[in-house]
Amino acid sequence: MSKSHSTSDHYLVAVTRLNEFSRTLTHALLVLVICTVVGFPLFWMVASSFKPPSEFYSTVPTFFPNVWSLENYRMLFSQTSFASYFLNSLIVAVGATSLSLVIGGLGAYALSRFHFRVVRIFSQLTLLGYMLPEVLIVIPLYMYVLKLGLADTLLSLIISNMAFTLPLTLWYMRAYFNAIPITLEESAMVEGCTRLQAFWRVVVPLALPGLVSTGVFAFNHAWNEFLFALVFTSSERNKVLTMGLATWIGQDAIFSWGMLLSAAVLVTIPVMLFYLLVQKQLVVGLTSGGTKGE
Amino acid sequence: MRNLTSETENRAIAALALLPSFVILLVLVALPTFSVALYSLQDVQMGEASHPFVGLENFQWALSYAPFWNALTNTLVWVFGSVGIEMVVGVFIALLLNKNFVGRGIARAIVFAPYLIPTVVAVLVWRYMFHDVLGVVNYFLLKAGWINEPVNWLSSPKIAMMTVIIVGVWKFFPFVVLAILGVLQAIPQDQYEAAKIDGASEWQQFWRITLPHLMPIFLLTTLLRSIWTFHKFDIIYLLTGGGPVGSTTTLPVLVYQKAFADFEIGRASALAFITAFLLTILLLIYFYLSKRVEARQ
Amino acid sequence: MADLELKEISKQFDQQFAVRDINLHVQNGELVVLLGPSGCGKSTLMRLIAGLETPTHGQVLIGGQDKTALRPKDRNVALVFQSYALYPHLSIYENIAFPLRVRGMPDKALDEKVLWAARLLDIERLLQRKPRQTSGGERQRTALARSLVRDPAVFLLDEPLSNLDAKMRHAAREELRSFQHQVKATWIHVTHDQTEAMGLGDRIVVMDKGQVRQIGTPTEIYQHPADTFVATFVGSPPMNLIEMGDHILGFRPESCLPRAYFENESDLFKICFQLQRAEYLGNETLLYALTQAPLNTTKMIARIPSTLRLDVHPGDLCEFAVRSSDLRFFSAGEDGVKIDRPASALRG
Repeated sequence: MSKSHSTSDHYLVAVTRLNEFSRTLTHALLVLVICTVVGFPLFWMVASSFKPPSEFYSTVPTFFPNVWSLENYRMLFSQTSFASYFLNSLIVAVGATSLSLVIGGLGAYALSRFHFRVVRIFSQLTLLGYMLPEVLIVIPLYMYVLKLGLADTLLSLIISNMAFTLPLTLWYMRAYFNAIPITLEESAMVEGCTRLQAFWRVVVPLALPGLVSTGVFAFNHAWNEFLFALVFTSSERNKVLTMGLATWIGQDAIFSWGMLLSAAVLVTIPVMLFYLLVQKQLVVGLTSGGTKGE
Repeated sequence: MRNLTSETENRAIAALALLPSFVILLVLVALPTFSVALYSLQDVQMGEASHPFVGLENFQWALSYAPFWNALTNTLVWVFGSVGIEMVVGVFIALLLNKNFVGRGIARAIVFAPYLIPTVVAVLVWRYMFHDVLGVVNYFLLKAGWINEPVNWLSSPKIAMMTVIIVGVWKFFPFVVLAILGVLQAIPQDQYEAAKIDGASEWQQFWRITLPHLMPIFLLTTLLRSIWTFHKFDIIYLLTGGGPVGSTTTLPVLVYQKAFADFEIGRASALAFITAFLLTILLLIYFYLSKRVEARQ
Repeated sequence: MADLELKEISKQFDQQFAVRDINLHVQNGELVVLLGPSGCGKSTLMRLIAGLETPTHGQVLIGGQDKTALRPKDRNVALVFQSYALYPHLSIYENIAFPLRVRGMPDKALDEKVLWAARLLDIERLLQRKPRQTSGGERQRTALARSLVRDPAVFLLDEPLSNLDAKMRHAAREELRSFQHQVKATWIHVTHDQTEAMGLGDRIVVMDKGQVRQIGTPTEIYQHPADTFVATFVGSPPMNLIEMGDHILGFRPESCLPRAYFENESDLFKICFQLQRAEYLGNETLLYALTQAPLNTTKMIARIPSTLRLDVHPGDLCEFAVRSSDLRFFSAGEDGVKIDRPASALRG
């Protein structure tokens, strides 16, 4: 009896192992296929940007450049105002982000620590801001911009971007502040701090990771923003990257695909860098709510 | 030295800290909403000083304006098509990425990448790939023998919307993956272990443990994606400009054209309002459906 | 150090009173324990003293001066939270130095003070670590050091021992007491643990539902509880209470011993009970029983030290007794207050 017992056991073990193996294999294959399909456009973008202009118009596309060349990048900077667009985007993104962090940070702190009725209503209203379409508010905002004489300025972009970055900051930082125990500020106040000192010395250092994450989200939003840039700015001098690239897209007879792709690569780099910076906090922050007190 | 009582001081500090946010949101969000409501009831032309009141004339015009209905149809196709595919693909990929495997970090990074890059970059790359002469897509399809001649992805009225949906799904599905992954990782492992001991198959585990946990977030994500997709402007405008022949003109694109190409602010505002109203109806349908799903659990 | 006086303190949240009409005078250098179950208002009272809440009514006087309207930072009190509230982003050294830095104390003087406090609490070797790298006991000592450097008028501690495991609590209690003596601090200690309160306090303030039940030394509280709440809250197992119709009779489990033990003593009160269950705890045995006639059938507990030989089994009827002087009487009804021996009381 023991002999047949062990045979059937071996059989079961073998079948289970085969099942596991085929499951793992299928899984690995699927993941590979998906990564290839999803990642291909980006790979294609980067690889193509390093192809010399002549390779673009050959009938047989190549995976990797036959000749790695920086020609496209060189032309981008020498023949276009790309550098100026980059700078403008930087100004708008940094401006909108820093303003949002300061104003939104203080506001989120108030929302977190104080529970007056008005405060509660206000926090619910900020969520509404996210439900409105850009096309709806861009119309009256443009009218205001015209009336205030801010047409075609970067300032108009900095402020209008806050329509989206500010509610984001308020919502996210409020949750973050909620996770910082209030006893820490109370302890600081008993030990000689005013409320503001307690905020600055104790709360802000602990909220720093959250501020960084929010800052990155806000920066990316402003960096990628298109509609407001399209409507509010017109002159070459004030164009941001999204506008610059957009105008070139329709004119691919004038601007070579190579240059466009090299521009695309450069525009993507800051966003990707920031993502790498906060990627650990991305999922963690959203699910667990930040630091623990002790 | 006597100071203010704590309660008053607290209120003052709270008010001061919230004031800037409040003012900015008032000016940038609340006020514009009212303005649009106002404009929709007036005859507003860009560059004209007077805005005579015209009541519901703009709305009446909108309802008899053929491109409006065309845009409405396009918008519904765009939303249901995009979001439907995004949700299915997103959940599937989230399930795959939930397991531990070598190179999971890299796989996740690649999967999230489309969401992070600027829309204009995504459009640029896909336009290049879908280019009828130079694009790789046509090259591969021709080489594989699946088509006989190059496809006009972006210039054919029949195909353009599908192309737009493909690009949209590629760009935004990672959001779904992110949301679903968050939930999947929060499901306690011991529920699966108990089920395994009880002899449940993979499918049964999914159906009885994973799905109930997923449902709330799944519905919420569908809702959010629907709202945001409904309102999307830049990806469509940049890919096709609304063409060819209005085949990809959705409501937001139409609003933009009316306001900033035709300079008819009053009518554009009415269109914008109708768009928001339609979305509200969509939301109500979602809420109704989600309540029914939750009740069944 | 200074004395602390609370006059008619009340605090209302919406319609509820968290604390009501509290009067308390803590002497300079005294260790007073606020004892009570959760929700009795002891933490609220402590926050009122610290200035984190303002009273709806009443005054807080520290060192004879009215500090009721002052912010926490101007009251010169130290508050050690239950969670110790150490700043996670600062080192132990910086945590202790925090109050001094806020006051702008020059580095040299600051350093001296921090080291002095660290030495006193034996945490010098931890100074460069972060709070998460220290144990519960070490964190508590850091919190104490931080309170100490300011020379506060009053120390307030909120359940300082509840975060420690049972073994550590005993040692920590000793350390706290000797610390308080060394520093000669006016000290308010909040806890729900009556053993802790009895072991530490010069005086105990027993609170329930926002009001003070009794203020007294541990002996007074234990031997002469002011009402049935205090009688049952303090002492483990609690005082036995027997309904007698128009009053309530009380006696402590350890006062109830076998009749034979008392030999020829005269003024005894006999108690006859039926044993339900005996619990041998090593140093003592607890007898869970039901009282018999002439008393109403009530659950009771008797406490016999192991030095007394006893041979009883569940179901046995036993004759025990309590000295008359150990009996306590309370008025009938909920939270009956202490009364003198009523005329209707049984004898013998």
